[in-house]
Amino acid sequence: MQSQDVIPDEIIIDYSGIDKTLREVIFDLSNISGVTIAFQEEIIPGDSLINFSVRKQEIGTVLNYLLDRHSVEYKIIGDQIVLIKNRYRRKDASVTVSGYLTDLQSGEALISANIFLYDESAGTVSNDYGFYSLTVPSGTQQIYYSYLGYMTDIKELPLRYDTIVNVKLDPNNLLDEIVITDTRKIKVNEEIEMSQNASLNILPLDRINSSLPVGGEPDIMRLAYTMPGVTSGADGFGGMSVRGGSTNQNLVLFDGIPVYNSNQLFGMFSIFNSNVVKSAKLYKGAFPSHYSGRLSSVLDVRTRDGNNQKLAGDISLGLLTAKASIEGPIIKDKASFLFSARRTTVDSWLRSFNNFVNNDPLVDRNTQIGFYDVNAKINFNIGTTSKIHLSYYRGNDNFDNSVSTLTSDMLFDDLDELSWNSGNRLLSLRWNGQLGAKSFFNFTAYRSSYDFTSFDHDRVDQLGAAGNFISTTYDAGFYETAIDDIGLRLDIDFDPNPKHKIKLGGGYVHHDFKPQFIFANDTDNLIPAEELLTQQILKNEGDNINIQGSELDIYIEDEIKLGQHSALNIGYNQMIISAGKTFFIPQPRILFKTGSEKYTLKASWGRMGQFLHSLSNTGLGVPSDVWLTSTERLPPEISWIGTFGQFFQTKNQTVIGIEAFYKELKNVTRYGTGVLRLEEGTDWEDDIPLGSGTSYGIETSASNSRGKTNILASYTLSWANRRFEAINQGEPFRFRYDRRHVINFSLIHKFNENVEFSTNWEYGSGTPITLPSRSSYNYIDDNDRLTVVRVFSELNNDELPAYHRLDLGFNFYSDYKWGKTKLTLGLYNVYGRTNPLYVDEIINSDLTIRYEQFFLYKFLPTFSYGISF
Amino acid sequence: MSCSEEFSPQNEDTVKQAVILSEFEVGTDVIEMTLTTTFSLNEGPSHPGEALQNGNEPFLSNLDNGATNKTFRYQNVAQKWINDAFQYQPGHTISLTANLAVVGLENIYAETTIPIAGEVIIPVPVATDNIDTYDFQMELSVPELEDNFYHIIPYVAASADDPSKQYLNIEAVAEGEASVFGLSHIDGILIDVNRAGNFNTFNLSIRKSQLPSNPSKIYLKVKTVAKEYYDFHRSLTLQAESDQGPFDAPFPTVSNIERGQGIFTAYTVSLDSIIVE
Repeated sequence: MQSQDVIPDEIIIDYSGIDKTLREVIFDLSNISGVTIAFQEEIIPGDSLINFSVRKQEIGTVLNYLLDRHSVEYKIIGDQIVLIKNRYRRKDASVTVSGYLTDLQSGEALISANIFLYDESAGTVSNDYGFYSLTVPSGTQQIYYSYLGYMTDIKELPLRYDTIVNVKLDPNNLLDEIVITDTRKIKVNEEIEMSQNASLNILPLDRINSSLPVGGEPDIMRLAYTMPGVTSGADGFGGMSVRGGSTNQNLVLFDGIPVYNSNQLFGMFSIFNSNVVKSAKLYKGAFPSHYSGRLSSVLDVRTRDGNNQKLAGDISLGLLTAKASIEGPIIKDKASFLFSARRTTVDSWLRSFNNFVNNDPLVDRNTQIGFYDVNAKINFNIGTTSKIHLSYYRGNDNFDNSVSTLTSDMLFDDLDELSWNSGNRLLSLRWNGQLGAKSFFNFTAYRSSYDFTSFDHDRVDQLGAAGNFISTTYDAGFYETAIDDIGLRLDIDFDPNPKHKIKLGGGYVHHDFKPQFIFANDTDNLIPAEELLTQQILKNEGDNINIQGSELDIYIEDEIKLGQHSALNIGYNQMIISAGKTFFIPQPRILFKTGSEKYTLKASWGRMGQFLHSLSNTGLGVPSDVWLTSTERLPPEISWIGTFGQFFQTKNQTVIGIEAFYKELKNVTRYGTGVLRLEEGTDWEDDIPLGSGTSYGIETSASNSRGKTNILASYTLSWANRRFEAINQGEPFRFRYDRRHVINFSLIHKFNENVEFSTNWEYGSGTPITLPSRSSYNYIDDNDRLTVVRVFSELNNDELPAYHRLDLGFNFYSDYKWGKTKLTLGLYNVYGRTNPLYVDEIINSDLTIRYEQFFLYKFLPTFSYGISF
Repeated sequence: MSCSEEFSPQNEDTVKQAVILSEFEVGTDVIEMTLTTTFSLNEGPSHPGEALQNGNEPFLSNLDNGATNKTFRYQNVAQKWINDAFQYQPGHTISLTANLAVVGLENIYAETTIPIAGEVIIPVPVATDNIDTYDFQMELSVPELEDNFYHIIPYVAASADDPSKQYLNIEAVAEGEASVFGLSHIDGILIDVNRAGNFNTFNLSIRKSQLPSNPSKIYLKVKTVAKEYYDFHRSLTLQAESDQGPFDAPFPTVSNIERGQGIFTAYTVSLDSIIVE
């Protein structure tokens, strides 16, 4: 390899190194080339590890690639190569490089990709639309574009003016070029650095597809439940509670549109079809000022635009769901579409199962459960600097259970029916693009509608000996929560220089609520006695109450870079609510982080306001929440939260974090004692108690992605309570989601490109429940009528048994010329823990009391098979 | 799809508490009270009356006129406590104290304010298209006190004093529905005039099929009650009507007895009648 006539830096080499420091790589290059490479150790970093491979390249070219970002250059002295520090700094005027980062194969925008100057003196990340803007010194500059899972692109650009550079990153690794994949450094940066403010958790989407999904359906909400500080009811029932907040206090955004109920099938799944999700961010603490409207968290989910290069699609079938999607270019590079639909498959076999187990001729049982949803999106590029997106989402959940029991003497027919139906509809038009080299805008017009109905009907018919109808008694209730929002939003990003990222903008939304509560019994004479009361009949009897209100928020926010590892995000959002009277809610927010490459300290503080109230009963947490606006007599909810945390990386690349939080809530609501009667012109707000809440805790986490194994573990210790003057004698009581200890552990191991193993173990203290004491007393009135009164000591005075569950699964991938397949097999709840969903009280014949806990399943096999092309 | 197994509560809440039931009419000479205990469903209440005599009797105090320690005396046969000749006026606040440590219970304390009688202003029949119901309108005055609560009990009888009363259910409320709460564990309806906004007129209906043939009058017993009376009876009906299942919010009952259960309160009574046409 070595020749006396060959100039040292022109020697051609082949080299491959894994998990080596830069110094080790240089030593290896010296050895294989036979050229002495001399340098002082302090100018070459020796801590971070890189993976590096190269074929048939001159050693000089290789050294330039490796050393430029560290401000080191080489000189040839005799037959040696000597490395020296490059002290030259260009101090000319600045220019701005801006543009879009997209996927080379699909054209999808890459969100939160890293863009940085070779010496890391300037850097930025792409926004939610793939747009970036980076101000650098003028002259020839090397700019790195990197994104996890993609080949880093390095552009050497002669920059004299503001320049638009649109970059397409390749998701494949090719070995014909120099490949520098400093994956560990980037990964560490992503886990610490990319969390550019104190509250952000970027949900790793690859984990969704690698982890064992419930019933074969990957779900982003379930991934969110594994984050420290995030809990739900058993198996997702009841929705998401973040750091002691109620389930209605999460701002769930679907491409920027607020969604009222993101659950399907009572929370076992969410409305987010994993086929269309591109990115998801979860803010648990004080969130940046450009978010407003809820108290506890922000889950910002962005969907894909569709492949603008070629037609592609997916079909998959699982134990509980089936789905299909298709996407492709309308005009290549300029316009694309995406369509995806899914529905449950459980309804078809559940009916058969019911018929199989129900062999009593006197009992007619009919249970139906299921959901479907549809996502559709069309996107157009307007020139090279702006885009239009038109999106539609429609989903629907239903649960129907009716049991008709004829007594053995055939004289009484007992009908019990319960029916729930809910669904979201979202329609939006978004226009976004560059305003200049340093600024970007996004304008959204949207409509978000949500509807939930519940019908409960208990009826007993008395029959004659001939089966003829004699009389009936019945009780029925219907309620509906119907919400229609129309909103506009404008957000502007402005990066005047590398030290400031300014956001400003605002939004307006008009809320229209139509809640209904109607109750009836056989004495109301709504229908002839022998006819069956239906949901529609009852609904028609209700008053059409209409509650309207509007909400405006205006914000400004600046993310100030204080140093390479320090940033301060300071902002202010002014919320103005019009609902009978005008409420002004100031929302200051501060988020701070500092540290070093391997250590980060984060803190945040913020005040949040919420115009909307949601009433939940303290029962199961099924989707029976009633949404109401604030009114003159029902003020908006307010919270403030402070967080403080530290994160550091160990020598073996494990990231360990510990974070504490404290939150206070005011004007929170719930069902009071009694029936809520909503009527125009009445003080119905008096039936809704207002209260306060406190939550605090410590979250710890550890994660490591080393080679083929990815491990994530977390433990949360927390407290959450509520207090209402009108309830529980004004004494504080445990909040429904006050789960003292929560532990999550997950491991994903790739055996090879085709086989992947995942396991997950969850533990959570039992959720609080209210059980009446075993004591009663007798009340006897003036006419000697006896009422047995049950005594309750306090609300949420007991708790369900602890929840824990182990899941195991395998994914098998296959590649073909026409596409790929994925087979998932696994078992949910491997050791058959009977995690209870609820507890019911049963009074025995001897008047002693016993309790029974009900659980959904012992084992749930998981199967899904998917094809993508 | 679901399965069940036994659940053992972590908190076996079986501590006995004193239960006070004392609702007395303003103006009567005697204030009656029952004092029992809570009990498990398969047991029965205990009556610690005898054990509290000779120095441990419950007593009343008038916080406005300074009268204190007016003790009850126990009637063994009726298992009731009686306090006669206790002096009070409408608007006064009186308290009940019982030191029950000697019978193994926590000491209890309660206060109530004697309500000022409100007035039903001439209930009158109202003509409607419904031939199956008897409809009438009544107007409630609003006494000077801040809280205005009523318990209205319609009945028919041969005369106002006839002990054989047939109590009637009020079928519907055509106007003022937000203020009306129908009771099911006892007769009548509760009205919270505070919730009626600017209106204190109520249109009520009684199903004719309830009425005996050819009654000449429907009597309305109008009680002006204190807030604790309203809250207590409302909560009892809500609890009695709810399934108390896992899908329902729990309905604890309200009590103004500190460290105990039950109710200690007073009410006024006026009587009106409506001519049946």
